[in-house]
Amino acid sequence: MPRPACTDRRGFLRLSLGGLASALAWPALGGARREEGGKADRFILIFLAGGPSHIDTFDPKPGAATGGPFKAIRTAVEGLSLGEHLPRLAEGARRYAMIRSMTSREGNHDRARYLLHTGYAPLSSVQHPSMASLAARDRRAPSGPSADLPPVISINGAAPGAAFLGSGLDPFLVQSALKPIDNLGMPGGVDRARYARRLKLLEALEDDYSTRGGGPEGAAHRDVVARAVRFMNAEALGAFDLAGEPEAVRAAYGTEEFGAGCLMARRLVEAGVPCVEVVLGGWDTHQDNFTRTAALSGQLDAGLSALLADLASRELLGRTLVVCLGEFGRSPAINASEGRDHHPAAWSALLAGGPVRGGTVVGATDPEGAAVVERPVTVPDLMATVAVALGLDPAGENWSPSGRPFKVSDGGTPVAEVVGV
Amino acid sequence: MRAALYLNLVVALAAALAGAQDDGTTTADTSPLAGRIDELLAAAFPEGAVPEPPCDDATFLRRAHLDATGVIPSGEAVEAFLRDRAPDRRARVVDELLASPLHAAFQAMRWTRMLVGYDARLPVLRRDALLEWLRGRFEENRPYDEVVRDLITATGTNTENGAVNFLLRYAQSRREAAGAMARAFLGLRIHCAQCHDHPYEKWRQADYDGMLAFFARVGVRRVGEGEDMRPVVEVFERPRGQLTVGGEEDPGRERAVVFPRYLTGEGVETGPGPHHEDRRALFARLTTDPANPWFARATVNRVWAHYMGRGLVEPVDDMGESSVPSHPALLEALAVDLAAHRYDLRRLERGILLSAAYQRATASEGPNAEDRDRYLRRYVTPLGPEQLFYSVLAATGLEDVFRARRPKRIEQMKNGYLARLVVTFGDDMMDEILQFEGTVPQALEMLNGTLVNEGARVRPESTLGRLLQEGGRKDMDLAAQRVYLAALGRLPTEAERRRSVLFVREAASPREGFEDLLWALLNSSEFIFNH
Repeated sequence: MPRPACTDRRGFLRLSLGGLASALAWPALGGARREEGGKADRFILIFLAGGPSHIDTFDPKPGAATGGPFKAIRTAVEGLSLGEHLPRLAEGARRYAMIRSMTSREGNHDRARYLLHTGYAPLSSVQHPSMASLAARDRRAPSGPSADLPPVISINGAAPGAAFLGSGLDPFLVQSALKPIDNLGMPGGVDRARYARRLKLLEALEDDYSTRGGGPEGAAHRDVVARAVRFMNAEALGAFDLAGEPEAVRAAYGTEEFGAGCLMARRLVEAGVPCVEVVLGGWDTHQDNFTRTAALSGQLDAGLSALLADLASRELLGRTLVVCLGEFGRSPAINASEGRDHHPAAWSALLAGGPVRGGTVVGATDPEGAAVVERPVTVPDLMATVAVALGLDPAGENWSPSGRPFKVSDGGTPVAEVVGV
Repeated sequence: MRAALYLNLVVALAAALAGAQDDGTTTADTSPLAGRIDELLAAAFPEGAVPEPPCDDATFLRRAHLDATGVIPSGEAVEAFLRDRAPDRRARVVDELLASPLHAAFQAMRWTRMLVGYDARLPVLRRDALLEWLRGRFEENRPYDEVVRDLITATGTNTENGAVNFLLRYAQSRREAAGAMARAFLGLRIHCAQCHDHPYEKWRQADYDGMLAFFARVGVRRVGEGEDMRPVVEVFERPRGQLTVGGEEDPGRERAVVFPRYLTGEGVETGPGPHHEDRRALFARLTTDPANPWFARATVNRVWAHYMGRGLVEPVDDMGESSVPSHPALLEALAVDLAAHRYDLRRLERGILLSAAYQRATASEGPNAEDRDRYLRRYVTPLGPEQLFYSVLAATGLEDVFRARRPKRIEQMKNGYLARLVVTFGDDMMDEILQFEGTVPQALEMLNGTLVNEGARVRPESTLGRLLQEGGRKDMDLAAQRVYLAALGRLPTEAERRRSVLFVREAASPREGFEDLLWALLNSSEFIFNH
């Protein structure tokens, strides 16, 4: 975990960094957030990278020839069963809604991941901003302890970025929740006074560069350095430090990287960071699907159920939307390597918090889990649902640099059963 | 003694600069291609537009070194170039740079990234072997069409024939291979047609499958284990085998055998009977055939974009029918020239580097500041990851520090550095995001990371170590000048020199002062950008 670089961060910052630091905060792009009943102003995305087998997790098909060896277990919600390796999520099923009728057409990891983060299939002509960056734009704190933290943070893995919204809304990557964040402390052998002197000289060099006509590139670089320095000295930096959490809490989340990431996510939203993604990779189970899915399910079960319970007990669940999904599902067919292959036609997504109606089950797949047979939900529909939960207008437009308007959701309709519109 | 020598040098340099009249852009052996480039660009200038004048010598030298070899020039090279008053000095530098081993190495780095990305998670993919194979080809300046054919048809083990590692990138995601080929060699994005028809280009799923079928007989088998415990595998061509689509794994489609068909329509017999054509050889031939409408244009566009900071078509790998080149006639002329000269990439590079367009000054103000695609000014670009890494090494002298005692340390530092800064996505395609457009992690790396901070230290053989050994404590003016030459590739202005000396004097020690000066220069916009 990052160690505090000095005891009086604020004083250091004011004293030493002058214009470089104070003039250039994280760009505050939006106005004050509207307080609305039930809308979430925090967003945690649990991303199951690789594409989890819906059949072995959220949409079990016991009895089907391709159902696999896992049993289905009953949950606290009538009509909802889960794969047997998700017992704690089964117990806490009243906290979340389950959409079992997700359907899309992107079966390539990168394209599907992009789609699930932005709501759009990748286009060569423009990069779309991720929903997290979009949501963070007018939900970030303009001041206060969290203002110096990046407004979008991605833990244990990278996430698609802010595109034309600007690098200030790009996710800051915490490579691993179990390791110190790279380069956040001052270099060895350099104390505060010396670091301040360095920055002062750097500022003079940048002044010269802009006087000589540094152009927009120079200004952007200067801005990004200022943000980095503010981050280094942020009061809320302790939110990344899990050491102060009671042993029992850490154990409940799971002590592996994913559980620690979920705990960090809770600490970050508590500190005021609007959007956090926690990545759990390894779901691309073309080989050994069942062994690997069982192991991953154990981590997911502990981390996600602890997160939901913890958020609820801290009265944060009402203002925090939690979404858990992967980029697609996996095929009913079991291949020669005991694996399941990519399957975008039918899969599941879990939503909780904010206005989400816990205990709801939406849609259904056929007896094999191959196709959606009831109430298909497209990715734009899901994005519209997420937008509504976060208090964003799904039809609201953003303008790309080339002047093309992009709606928050690409023609989707919010799933009323989930968010009650 | 050394200090006095340096004083003489700087005085001489200043005198030479004061007397300089010509801009050094005269080329003894004029490149007709450069002339053609300038002619075709001028034909597309907006009415009344006047392009920026040539940049100064120091700027040119830094730019050409960064673009051709991926690393800034040494302080000594800058001094020598500034002393050189020969009218054809720029042309000579271009020829030296293009012939240098660093040029081949940098080119191989860029091509390796294009072909397999930075991701090193696949155990069978030996990225270093591919890099080394490419480096050898580029060093010999082998015709590029031949290089591409060799990559497509490669067989053998991943350790002995580095070229097979391109195909091995797709060993676990075979269906991606056709998309990767089209993107790398044809400048076409067809990979979305893997799952469905392309939304606005003409490509159908059937087109994708037809391209993929050329690779249906690629076999991969494990033949052992290397000393590094990683698998040694062999890529070979099986005598038979077909691509099937649909069926259980792909419920939307009927099960069918797909026969090879290139995007241009050529293909392989689809009737019954054995088909023993070497499918990959055919694919390679069709890719580099002079009649292929995309290959030469895509190649030209990539090279152009690298040197000029912007492709004639953007993005460079999306040259489909819906894209419009900024200069269609120029793109065509360069493609024709490339094909007519045996795909000699160095000839193309030389033409670009010697053009007036390449050597223009930047403009952040005035009428040309708004120019986005007329090449009226030099476009400022951030240094790429490798450029930044090797330039910090060069500026700080870290390369010399490690070369003697810990040669492996440089590789280790580079790998760690890239791992921190290059964000890799997904499992299938090479869509790494280069966070080099100015991001917080990059800034933190430069402010606090080991590369810059180890580099900006006084130690034997480092830039600062040598400087202090050679009398920098006594003659701080000269020392400051040398730090500027090493880091920014130019002499400081009078005001900059005075400020630097004052800064060092006020530090706790000259050692600390110089370390902090170099640190600040390396973090400055002037260092971070290629301009």
